[in-house]
Amino acid sequence: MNEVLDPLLRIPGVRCVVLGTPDGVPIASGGDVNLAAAAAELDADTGRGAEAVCGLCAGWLASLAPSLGLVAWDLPQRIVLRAARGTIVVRRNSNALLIAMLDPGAQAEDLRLPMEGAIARLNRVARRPRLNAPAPALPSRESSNGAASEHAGHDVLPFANELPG
Amino acid sequence: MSLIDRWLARPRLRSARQKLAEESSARNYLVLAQEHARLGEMLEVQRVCDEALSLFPGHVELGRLYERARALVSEDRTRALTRELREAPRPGLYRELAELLLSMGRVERAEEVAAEWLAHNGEGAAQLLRARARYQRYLADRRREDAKLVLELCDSAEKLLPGDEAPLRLRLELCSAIGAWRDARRAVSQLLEQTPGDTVLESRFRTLNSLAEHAPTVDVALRDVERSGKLVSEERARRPTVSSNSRSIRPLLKELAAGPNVQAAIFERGATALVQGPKGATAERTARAVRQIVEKSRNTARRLGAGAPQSIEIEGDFGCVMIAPDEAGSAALWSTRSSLSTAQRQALFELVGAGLDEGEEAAPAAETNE
Repeated sequence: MNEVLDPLLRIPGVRCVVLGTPDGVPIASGGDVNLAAAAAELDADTGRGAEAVCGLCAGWLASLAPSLGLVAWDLPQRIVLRAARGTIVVRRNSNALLIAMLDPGAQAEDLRLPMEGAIARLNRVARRPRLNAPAPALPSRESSNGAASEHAGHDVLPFANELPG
Repeated sequence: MSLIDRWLARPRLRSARQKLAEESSARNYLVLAQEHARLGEMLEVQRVCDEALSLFPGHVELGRLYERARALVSEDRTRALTRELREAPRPGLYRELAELLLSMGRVERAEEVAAEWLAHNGEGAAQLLRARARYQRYLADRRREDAKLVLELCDSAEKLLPGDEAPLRLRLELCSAIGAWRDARRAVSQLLEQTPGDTVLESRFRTLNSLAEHAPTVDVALRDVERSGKLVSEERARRPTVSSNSRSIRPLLKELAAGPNVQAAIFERGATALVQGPKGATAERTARAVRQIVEKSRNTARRLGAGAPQSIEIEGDFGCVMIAPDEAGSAALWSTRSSLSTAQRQALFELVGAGLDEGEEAAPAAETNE
């Protein structure tokens, strides 16, 4: 994931970058992810670091959905929340959330293109065939012998007229 | 700036002064201030802007230049104080630096300086500054841990500074802000012990006495504030009264809504929303959506430790929505373009500012749609 996050971390003013699933599970993170300014109670509630950032942002997006639904707006692709002690930029993809936290004074607009690039790279990574994939626990349909292998070409089950009898 | 540059800039400065003497317009004041800024004379910039703003209050560019000059002067002073402290620390320098940082909104650094001062035998005054810095942080984030720490620091400062009103006043401010009226009343009574006969404090004591009966404890009040993200003092200030501010906001809102690709311009304050663009129930829903987005985003920013939100920008298939939230209200603009222009953003912030400048009273409680 370094090839996705590193270019973003090199931009001045970027405090941390977190890549997570849409439901708030962090996949990778870089930079100073610790919520130093947040309350100690976060430790108990949501944990600190990438888990907290990712979980809070995913929760935020989920909580916005009903409000956006009032005006028939879809879930946003990009949200920028500029606050007193920093800026939070969230770029949503169909299967990932890319979150960047910026220092005060840093411009979210400087991250627009790099984040789009990161999302494009992420999509490329997702499409890439897995060369070093671990061996599956069960034999694949193509390699196994027996009754099931007769219908290996079918996706699910054999058609009724192909069944014996 | 070199001497030659200064010498070359002198005729321009003279001409700017002459133009201003002939016609005292905001534009001419701005030109003169900019000439001073080019020479690096920030105090002069402040002086010119100050004079201009007294004649043209609310002029955006002059205001911005004034703020920028003020920030630069403060930065210079901060650097000088830090250098001096490194060489020979003394209480006066610590105090000035911490107060300067607080005025600049650099709360964390101010707290660090106060802690450093405390380590150098700062005692009561340093503890009080730490409490003030933490209180500023509490106002931004509304986290109860911060408020509890403020109260602890106030306790400690009271012990270290017997007879000093400042820790008690800070405690009173905090308790009044969160609605812990019983504790606020106790703070006032302690203040009255120190300044008996103070009529303002006496009347405040009577008011607090009437509120204290059903008041929550500090813990409960802090929990309520943390959950809602709103201070009781803000709620009280926001109570609806009849106002005329919608008359002057409406033209600004109309102007914004008339822009290219703009679908809606919304201004909200208290329970009132002024909407330009959508009509009827759609307008009502749009305003409600904006209000909910602001509430949820405020909560998230607080929990992420980012402080009070200043702007929220949402982009999607529907276009772009920008919301400028404030303590008292918010303004929003929905455009079908993927992002808003700089002028539109600026206008949005001016709209929120205009709403706030026109007095503390809120608009009527009924929802107003156009």
